[in-house]
Amino acid sequence: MSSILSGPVIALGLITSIWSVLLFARDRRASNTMLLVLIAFEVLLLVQLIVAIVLVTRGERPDETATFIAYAASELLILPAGVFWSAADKSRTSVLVIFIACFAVAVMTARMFQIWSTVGG
Amino acid sequence: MDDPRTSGPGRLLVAVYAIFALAACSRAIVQIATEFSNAPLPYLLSLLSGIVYVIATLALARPGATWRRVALATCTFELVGVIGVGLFSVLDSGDFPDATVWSNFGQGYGYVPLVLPMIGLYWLWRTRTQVPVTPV
Repeated sequence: MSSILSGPVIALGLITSIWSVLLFARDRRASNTMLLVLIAFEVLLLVQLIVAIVLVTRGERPDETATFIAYAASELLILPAGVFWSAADKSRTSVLVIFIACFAVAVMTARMFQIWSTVGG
Repeated sequence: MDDPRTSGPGRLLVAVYAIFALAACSRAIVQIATEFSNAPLPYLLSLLSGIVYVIATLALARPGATWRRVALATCTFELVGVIGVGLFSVLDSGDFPDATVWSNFGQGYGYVPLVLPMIGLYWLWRTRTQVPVTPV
């Protein structure tokens, strides 16, 4: 079930969101530790996409299969884009770009979870 | 040239716009590829909104007076679009299935499509004096 991965992805998305807001509040930049966590997050998203493709090709299809796969694939782009867009800016608000990216991934995964719940229902 | 419009908080705006450009365009492409004949007009509108988001993202990210004008035009277009399509979808739900990011004032996207152009226009207004006015 793809929904097994949704929990960890949403949780990690919310944790990194809160983390980046805390960094902003303390007037800090994204740390190396955070970067490592974001890389791990990206790997998890890659696993999620592979699992989603395997399940869909096996025949477990939600109502909106195309949207489901599109979400899983676009999520992979968001974190690297966010990290690069954030790193290219030296101002204080740059760490909030990471917040936007992580929160977007959490919301999109919640939507994927909703779409997946139509399987076999 | 360091334009205050395209640095600091302006970059956050670009990030949110980029996500909505991605969301609106991929949604429209999925709709047009899988079920275009169901509702051609809303799906084309969906695609148009996606293209406008892409242009707005670029315009907000680039410094200079010309890009500022493009940003002003696209943000205004979005505000008119989300209010127009929002009103239409509420008054006449039959012809407007839940088909665009603008339906029901962007309810399906946490009303971000409604709030985003307002924040965009506010940001353009707030940074207005920083941009040198060039007579045409």
